This record gives sequence, C-alpha cells and structure tokens, in this order.
Amino acid sequence: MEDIIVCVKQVPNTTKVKLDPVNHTILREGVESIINPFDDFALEEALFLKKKFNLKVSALTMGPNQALEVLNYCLSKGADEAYLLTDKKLAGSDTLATARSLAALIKKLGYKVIFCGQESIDSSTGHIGPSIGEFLNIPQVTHIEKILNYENEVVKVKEKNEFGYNIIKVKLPAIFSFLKSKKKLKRGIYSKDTKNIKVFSLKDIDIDENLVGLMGSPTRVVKIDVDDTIDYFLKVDSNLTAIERIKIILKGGIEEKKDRLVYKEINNTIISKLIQIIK
Amino acid sequence: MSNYFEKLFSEFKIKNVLLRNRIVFLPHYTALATMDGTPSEKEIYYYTERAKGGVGLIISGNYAVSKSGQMHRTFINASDQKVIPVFSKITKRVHNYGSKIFGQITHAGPTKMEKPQSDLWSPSQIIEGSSGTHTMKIDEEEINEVKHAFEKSSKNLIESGFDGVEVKIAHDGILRAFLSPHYNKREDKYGGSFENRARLSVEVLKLIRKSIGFEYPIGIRLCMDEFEDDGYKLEDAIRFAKYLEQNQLIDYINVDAGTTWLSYIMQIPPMSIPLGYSEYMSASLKRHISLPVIAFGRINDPVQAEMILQNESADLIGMARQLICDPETPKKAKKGDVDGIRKCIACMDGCVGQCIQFQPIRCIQNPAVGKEKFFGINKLKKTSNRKRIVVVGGGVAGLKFSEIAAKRGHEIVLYEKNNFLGGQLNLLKKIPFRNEFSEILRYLEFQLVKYKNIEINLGFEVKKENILAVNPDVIIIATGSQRYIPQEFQALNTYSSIEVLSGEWNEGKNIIIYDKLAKNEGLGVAEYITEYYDNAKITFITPANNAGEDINFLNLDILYRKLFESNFKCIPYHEILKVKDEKLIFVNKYSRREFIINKYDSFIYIGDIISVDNLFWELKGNAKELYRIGDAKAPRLVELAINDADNLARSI
Repeated sequence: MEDIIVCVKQVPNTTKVKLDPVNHTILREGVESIINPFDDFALEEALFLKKKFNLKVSALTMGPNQALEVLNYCLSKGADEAYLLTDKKLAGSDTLATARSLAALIKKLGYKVIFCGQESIDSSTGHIGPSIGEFLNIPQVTHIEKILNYENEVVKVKEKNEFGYNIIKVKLPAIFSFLKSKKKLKRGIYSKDTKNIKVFSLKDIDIDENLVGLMGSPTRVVKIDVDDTIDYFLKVDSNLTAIERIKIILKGGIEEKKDRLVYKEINNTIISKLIQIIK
Repeated sequence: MSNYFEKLFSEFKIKNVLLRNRIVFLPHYTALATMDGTPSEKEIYYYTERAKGGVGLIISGNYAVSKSGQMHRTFINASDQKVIPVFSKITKRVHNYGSKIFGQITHAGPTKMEKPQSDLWSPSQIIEGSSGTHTMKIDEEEINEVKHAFEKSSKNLIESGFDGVEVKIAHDGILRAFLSPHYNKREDKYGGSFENRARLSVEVLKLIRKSIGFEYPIGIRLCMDEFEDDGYKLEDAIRFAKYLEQNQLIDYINVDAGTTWLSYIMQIPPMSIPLGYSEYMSASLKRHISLPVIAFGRINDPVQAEMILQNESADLIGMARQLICDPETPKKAKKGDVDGIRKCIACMDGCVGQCIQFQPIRCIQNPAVGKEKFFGINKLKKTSNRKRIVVVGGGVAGLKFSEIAAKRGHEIVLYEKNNFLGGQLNLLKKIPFRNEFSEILRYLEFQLVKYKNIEINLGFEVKKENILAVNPDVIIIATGSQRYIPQEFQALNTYSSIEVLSGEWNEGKNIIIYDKLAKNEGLGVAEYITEYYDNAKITFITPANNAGEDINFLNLDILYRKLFESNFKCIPYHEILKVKDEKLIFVNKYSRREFIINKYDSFIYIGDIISVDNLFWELKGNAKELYRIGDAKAPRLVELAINDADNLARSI
C-alpha cells in the first residue's frame, strides 16, 4: 500500500464548551484544544496499516501556529512526518476554501492515500473529505468503520449505513473518511515542539489567493441557535414494538451487556449522572 | 407561595377555575360505593381528606354514565339522579378546604371487571384480550344512548357542584375503544379513518359542552400509548389531541397510558417501573399543543414533581396513589418537610389489589384509607392517661406502634436485639420487585427520632426478668417470626429464604426452589437469585397452579417478564414428599405420581414460618397489660403488621 496522509483538525473539547446564552456563540475561553476524535480514529487506522504494510504515515493540518500541538500529538502516537499549512491569508476559510488549500498541498506532496475524520465535533459539516476528493478528482468513501483488506491497489472497506454495512472496493488513489469506532485509542501527547513539523505557507502551494481565506469562502454563519429542547427524561421510540417499548421502560433505559451498561435515551437524566458518579 | 417548590405551589387556571397549586388527585375507582352504584358516606370523607391535605385539584371518578357502562355494580352511576345529594356533599366539603373538584365520566365499553362478563359494548365484535369474552358490536341507537348518557351525567355533575367535567378516553372505556384501531373495525361513519374513529368522542364532547355551557372546563383523560401492536401510539394520541384543540372542544388533557387489562402495568405501574417513567408522554404532548397538560406515572415526591414542571414537561402534576398513601403530601411539601412525607411504594397490594376484588380501597402504609371518618387527619387524640410502654422488637410492627403511641403522648421504651431497626424489611428490600419497602423503614425511623418520648435500645435482647424489673404499664410483644424447615425436608444444602437473602448460603448453578405458599416470598427469592447470581438455573416447584399464584397479577406480569428471560422453569401441581439421601422427592398433587431430583446444588424451601412469641407466653398472667402485634401474633403481610400496630396504638 502507498504512504498515507491523515488530515487532522484541532478542536475545542466540546464536552466542556458552554454557549453564551445571550449571543448564542461558543465560549472557547479556557477550554482545552484536542484532536478531533474522528481524526484520531483515522490516524489510528493509518498507524495500524503502517505496521501491517510497512508504509509511512504523515499528518496534515491547516490553522494558526497553535495547531502544531495536534501535529505533535500525531507524531507522539507514531506518525512519521507532520505538515502545518499556515498563513494569515488563510484565516476565515470555510470548508470549501479549506478543502481547496489542503488539496493543493496534498497534490504538491504527492500522496495517493488520504485519510480524514468523517466530521469535526465543533462544526460537524462532514464537508472536508468529499471536497478534497472533488478537488483532486479521485474517488471518495465516507462513513468508514474499518479497512478490511488491501490487494493490488484495491482497498476493501466497511462503510456503515442506516441499516447495516456496505462492503466497498475502491481503487487508489482515493480519500477515506472515518467514523468513530469502538476501538480503544492509544493516547498521544500534546506539545508545542516545532522541530519535527514541516511548515508551509500560501506561497508554497499553487493557488489563487482570492480563492482561499475569507475572500474565497462563500459560507456565512447567520446565527447559532442553542438547542433548548434537551430532554432530562427517558424517551421511548414509538417505532419499536409494544413489548420492546415496555422493556425499555421496565429497565429505565439501561441495558446490561456482558461487562458494561448501555444507556438508551437517558443521557441527561439524573439517573445517568448518578451512575457515572458511582462508576 | 412556597419557598421550597416555586412552580409546584404557584397558582394555575384551567379555563376560569383557579387552582391553589399544581397538584392533582387523579381519578380512580375506590370500591367505596354501595352495591347499587351510589356513592357512600365513606366517599365524602375520602375526598375531603385529600382536600384537607392541600391538593389543588381533585378529579374524582371513574363514574359510569349508565348501567351498561359500569365496570362492576360498585362503580358509581352518575346518570342516576340519586347520586346528586352525596356528590353535593363531596363538592361542598372539598371546596370548604380550598380544593377544586372535577368529575370524570366514562362508559366501560368492552372492559369490565366482573366475571363472567355481561354485555361488553364495543365498536366491533372481537375477543376481549384479557377475558376471552366476545364483545357486542353496538348499533346506532346504542351509540346515541351512550352519547345521551354522557350528556345526562355531565349535567348531574354540574348540578352537584363540580367545577368541571373530565371525559375518559383513557386506559379503558368505550371512547378509547372507538379511537383504537385494535378495537374499532367498523365500516360506518364511526370506523375506518382517523376522523371517523374520533367521531364518537367529538360528538360526546360537543354534546356535553352544549348541555353544561361554556363557563365550565371540559377535559379529557387521554391514553397516549395503548402498548398494543395494532393499537394506537404516541403520535396518534398527539394527532387526536391537536384535532380536539383545533376544534376547541376541550380545556385540558390529563395524560395516561396502557390499557385495562392487556398492558395494565403501563396504566398503574408497579414498583418495578421507574419513578416518572412516562414523563416523555406529557412532554411530547405539551410540545404540540398549548392546552394545560397533567403529568402522571409514579410521581411520589415534590422534588420530582417540581423538576417535571421546571422541565416544562407538564403544567400540572397528577398523583393518585401518593395522595392515598399520604394525603398531606402537598401540605408537608409546602412547609419544606420533604422527609416527613410518607411515599407510595407502588406495592399494588392495598389500593389496586383490593379494588380489583371489589373490596374498599386500602393502603398498606396508611391504615386510614377508606376509614378517614375515624382515622383521618387530626383524628389522633392525645392520651389523657399517659402510660409507660415497653415495646419488644423494632421491626415494622414495633416501629409503627411506637410512632402512633408516641404521637399520642405515651412514653415508649423500645428494645431491638439487632444493632439496627427494621427486622425483616431489611431482607425484603433486597428483592428487586419489593425494593422500595425500604421507604417504610425510612419513614418510620424518621418519625421516631422526632419524638423525645421514645427511647430506643439497640442490640438488647429482652428477657422476662428485664421487663418485670422495669414494671411498665403496657408490654408490646413485636418479636416477629422466623423461618422453619421441617426435619423431613432438611438436606445438606437446604436453605430458607432468610438465609438466601442474607447471603448465608452456598449458591450453586442448579437451584431448586420449593414454594409451598405461592406468595411474594417464593418468586421474590427467585427474582433475587436471577438478578444477583449469574448463570443460576432455577427449577421452581410449587403445589399451586402456577408460580406465585397468589401474587397480585400486575407484579406477577413483571416478574414473569424477568424470570422467563433468564434460566427459569416452573413445575406446578407438585408437593414435596420428603428428602432422602440428599434426593428430593416430589409428588403430583392429583395423580400422586412421584418424581425424584438427584442432582442439584442448593434447595430452597419456602413454607413454614413460626411466630417468635415465647416472651408473650412467659409474661402471660404476669403483666398488667400485654399485647402481641405483627408476625409475633401470626406471620402475615407488612400491611397487617402496620394495621395491628396502628389499631392497638390508637386504643391504648
């Protein structure tokens, strides 16, 4: 298999983010930055393949200098190289401009296998993977749970859909977007170290500066709304059969599975919080 | 306004009826009426008691609109003029204590309680699922009769001074049957499409509005989910509610779920069902309509009630059993005395358990239920003859006696041989479907610490000489009972329920339970084992017709759901003959054919219980006043221990 480049994003830890109740904007102050968990799964899969096929894994991100923390995280987990694309003119890029910039750098670096997370936890658009694919004019596969096999330039993947799975074969070069899976992730270390990071700016990539940054971004965020319909009680899906509905009520939305408890629709209830404290 | 529960104790208006708080006493059958369906004096005191306790709104009810609409002849027939005098007394007294009162009317339709069942009025002819009885498809004249019965009854209610009328389209009754695709297979204008199925309800509501005028609120109790695969679900109920709201036919909705009898556990949820399980139903409804919504479903706590209101899941909080158990819940909550509230544990033995046998409503924790005239709020008289009383035993009987006697001003010294109070309640609460029995203990312990005239001695086993030396005025023997396994059934690995529940046994994989009693204890132990011991395989043998035959069928429903999901097998009709050489020999009760179990790991014998009453017999004749209560008198249910204690403490 060819060498892999993994696109990663630095995101605020959204489990700790609060929303400004008046302006409805995200209050990022004092909130730590982490690797987008979806990207972490993509990286994990790449590192798994690295061992298996003895190939090279690189990490790529675009953002301000601070974003090198997440690249160091990737290196500490076992990535071989890390690229930071940073430029003041890139500030304010939406998903279209970001994908355009990343695609240009990937093309310059010459990678044929591109991994990324299905979406980011701070904006959840899911645009980046497919957009890079379009800019590079290569096949894209999304919602991947795992890579099943690789043989003769053909990658076999397990793609999750609403009803189950599709098994898809795709010929390289291609871009793959990964979901979070049940796999236990290896932890990396965030640091501000600069020495192993290769830094690129806008002049290194062959691109019209009017097509990136704020200028090249047609998306405008009109308003962010707080979802105030969070439910603090057990919910029961009407599509289940009567017996299943009664069963969920009887068990209070908690199901025991071998060694763990599974919560069904009770994430915000006092009970779920108590269980977490007891655990 | 209360400082403690801001929303719960804020006023609320339904149409033009102003309620002093958000707590609603939900309608239910009480079996307090006479055999010809007229309300009795007991009914007056029953509702007055709840008004005294501070409830905002009482919806009294399950009143039938005609003779054909009675589920049993003890259901009040509200279309009969002779109900008006008693109804008027109820409404007058309830108003005197500051509560408002609505009356709920229904026609039983295809659901009746008597056996064998008489005519079951139904939209279509089907087999009524719980009884196997074929229903009667009613014709247009009978439909008209039903409509006019509703009209007539609503008039009687208003004439009797009720503040509003509630129409039952809930867990039972003909109106829900018409709405339900499970019951309604008609092809005329009352069946088929949604509008057609809703037609009878709409016509009834219109007719009531016409007859009582616009000033009185009309509400419905609405079943939100029939829990039948071909019945209607949450979305259908919401659609119906919106339809009624758009046509301005109703002023509030009282939420409800399940059906009598097929999914009864969703209607009157037993202890195994989590508190507030149905909040999602009222919340979903409230998001689609702007009419006031009343929540229901195991709400027994003011904190929980306030949270439901703060979550905006409902506008009002419905409680039935909680206010049966402790009518003063609203008053106590308002004062902030939350721990002083005696919470309903949903045991199903007192209220529902009695009513389904057409016996007057009771409560295992509140002996005053149905007897409010004599034992209700403020009926406990201080004693003029203060006595020194020794209570031996700190189980439920001893504690209850001490509570009531102390409230009356007697001086109590209580001895308990263990280092903790509660006796068998401490084991009972380990059984999953009985776990809230711990509330009984919590409540009683909390009461006892409030009174200075009670002295509690733990870890003290009382002998005859100790007591005689103290020379008290009264001696109460509440020493409980113990399990007894006859010699012929003893094997190496034979255990009693007490040993199992206290963990003093060698469990194994293959467990045989012999249940001679067919009551809560046997299946309770089985449930406990399946819950806490993985891989246990239980063979449950009983002389009864099925496992736990005597258990209230609502609890049994849930127990069976759990047990049959695990490794559980029942062999009915078999008695134990003997245990010989570690082999268990059983015999079929009818054929006397024997069968032998050779291989098993443990054998649990549920049967004989004997009173621990030696002290009673020793003291007999030597004491001034000597009484025994609870299991020391005879091993019985918690309810009877509480009753013994309450009755005695009031008379001493």
